[in-house]
Amino acid sequence: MRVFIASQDRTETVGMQIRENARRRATGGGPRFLSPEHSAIALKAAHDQADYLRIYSRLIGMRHGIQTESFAIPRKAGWVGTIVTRIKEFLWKFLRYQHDRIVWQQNLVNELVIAGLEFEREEYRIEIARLAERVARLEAQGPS
Amino acid sequence: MSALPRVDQLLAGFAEGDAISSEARGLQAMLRRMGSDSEIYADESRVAPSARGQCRFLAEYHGTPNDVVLHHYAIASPATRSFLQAAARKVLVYHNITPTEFFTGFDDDVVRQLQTARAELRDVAARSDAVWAVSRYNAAELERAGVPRARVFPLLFTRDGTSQLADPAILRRFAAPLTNILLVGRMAPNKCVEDLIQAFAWYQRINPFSRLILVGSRHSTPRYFSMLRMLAGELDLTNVCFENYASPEGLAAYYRLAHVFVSASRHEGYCLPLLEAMEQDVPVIARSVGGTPEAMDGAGVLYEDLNPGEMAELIHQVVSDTVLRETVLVSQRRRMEAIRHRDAEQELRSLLAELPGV
Repeated sequence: MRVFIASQDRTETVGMQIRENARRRATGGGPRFLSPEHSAIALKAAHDQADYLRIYSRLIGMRHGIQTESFAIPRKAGWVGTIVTRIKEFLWKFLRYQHDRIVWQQNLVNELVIAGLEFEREEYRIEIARLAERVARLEAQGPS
Repeated sequence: MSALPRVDQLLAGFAEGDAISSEARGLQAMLRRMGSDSEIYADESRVAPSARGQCRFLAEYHGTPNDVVLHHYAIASPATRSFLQAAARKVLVYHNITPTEFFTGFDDDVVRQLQTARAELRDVAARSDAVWAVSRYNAAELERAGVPRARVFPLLFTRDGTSQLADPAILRRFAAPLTNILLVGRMAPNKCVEDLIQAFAWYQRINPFSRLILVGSRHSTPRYFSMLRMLAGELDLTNVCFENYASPEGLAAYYRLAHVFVSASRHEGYCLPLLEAMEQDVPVIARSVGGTPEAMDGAGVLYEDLNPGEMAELIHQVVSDTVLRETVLVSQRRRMEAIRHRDAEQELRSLLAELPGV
């Protein structure tokens, strides 16, 4: 780690302080990162565009659903913040019944569209294999 | 003082907001002020519809031995062939060739164009009358590539992009009083925007009332852009705002809204948006890589080897520590003062005078 502020090397002061703060915050529970093979970052390992498409298809297949189970409601400091957060929590409980029906329908649409894309890809794959086989057969026959 | 010859410029493409196009426009304006006829020519297939009318097409270029032609070089394109066939005195302007590994998997065509550009670099340089690099970092890279004695003509910083009135629609849209972290630049893999998004996921734990504003073309590398969108989605970061390319008025609005400008880029030849942010008095944090330290020249905050959690803490320090923030801003104002005193016209005149017969 190196930190330079206005051309001064502040690694030993600011650098060490941010490292300590980051370590302390991590023990309090950080953001939920997916494992490397399930995260979008897996796309960086693609060797070419075809490989990218293969990884992308795998990742998108895992992501057709909209999650509503848990999300944090930001809380401002002070009693106003507490009241506002309570109101938001109440509203969420109140609206969730209708909201989840919409989410269920959207998840279903997403899933069907993704399945449709996979069916289409499979059809292309079969057609390309059939054409490649035909080209190979014609090339083996030589010029007529 | 002798009259300047006609100086034309050949580019691989031409678009609003693109660094090389902006440089060509700045040079053209300067050359015309200095009394030289000057036109910009670009490959017709790579001229953005919005930029048509601001440049001519390569097929129209016909230089004479009395002219000078500058070729801005960063990727293989038909402009290189036009440059090599030109009768004019030739100057290769080297903007850096991004290493191909950044684009592998994201864009096979760009990978091939970058490989070709690197393979042809020495030959193109050898057939040029002069080679200019837009930063000392680029000149050093040329030296390593077997092209010695490149002259340095740093990228021009014109205030045109940031001195406009701010777009009121953008100011209204982001009116909620959140802490705004800004990045301006193409959404391209070498910019490592994913590092910034991951750092923002941590920063949201420190300050949930914040947003990350990413301003830059999403069409540059669409597959990379999809990866970034997917990443923001899986981290449930609804406050990551992908803003696409911005007009000068839009840029002015984003800089006005920003509390801090952060660049996590892992490859830069120079990086003009750092200077734009400094010009707008926005504290800048940037990864110390490539030509970035040269662009910053001792101003702002530079870092190396920070994980996303540490990066978030650094952003928090710069945003919340008023003493630290002021130290950063004072250094940046000093840097911009030095840039304002640069006599680019004299530098350009001297470089042109070194060409045979000028």
